Amino acid sequence: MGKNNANHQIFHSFCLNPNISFDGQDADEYPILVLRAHPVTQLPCLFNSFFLILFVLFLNFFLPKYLDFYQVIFVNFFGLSLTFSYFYFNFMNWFFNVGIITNKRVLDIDFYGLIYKETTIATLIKVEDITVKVGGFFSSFFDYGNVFIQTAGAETNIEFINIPKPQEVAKIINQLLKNG
Amino acid sequence: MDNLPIINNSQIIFLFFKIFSLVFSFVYLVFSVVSFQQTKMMSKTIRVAKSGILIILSIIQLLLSIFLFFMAIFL
Repeated sequence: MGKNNANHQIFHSFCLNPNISFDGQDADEYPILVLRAHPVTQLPCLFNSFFLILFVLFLNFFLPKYLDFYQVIFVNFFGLSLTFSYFYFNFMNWFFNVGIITNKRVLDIDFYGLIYKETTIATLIKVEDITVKVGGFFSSFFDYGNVFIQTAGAETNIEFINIPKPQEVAKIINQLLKNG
Repeated sequence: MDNLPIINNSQIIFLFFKIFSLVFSFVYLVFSVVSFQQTKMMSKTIRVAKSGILIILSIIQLLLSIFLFFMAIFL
């Protein structure tokens, strides 16, 4: 596995040898695999956004009876802006909640809401056990699941939730452990 | 009682709408500012090739919220 030949699969949720860098990266360290939640898990957000737009448009049948023209324009503008923000917020949460496997470490970077950030890091040497959990119809059909990485000692365990190809991820980590 | 100003239904609706629009557009403005700051922080934490697009989107959101706030003031 080298630094080149970036291979982005499943809408950038499974990226092999990606061209990214992160905070605290060592000079001789490079990402081998970057993982995000499977895009299928983001479908509820898409549906919600779609129905929010429909709801705002639907309001136009009633609002003109009670509000004047500029107020109706404001409500429409406000509703559509909120929908955009809702979609954008969910997209950001998906895009920046990543699991990174480098040639030296495993990192789990999580952003909760707008103001809380959590980074869990474990060196590959400390990885003791890898558990893959796939359950349910959608998980089996779209091949996504959870990977739990147990580390030695008091270090925090790492969890990759709803990531695509969990078996392959476990295989890649095992390969790195053997090589390291 | 005769000296009290008469407030009709349309004025009540207008007053309610004015308060609603000002409060919610202000909350939205605060949310957009925090969101913009957070986007910048996220982009620094994980540096990807096209993170500029995300920052542009957050600026668009911020501009939208400023526009909405002024729209609510002058409504």
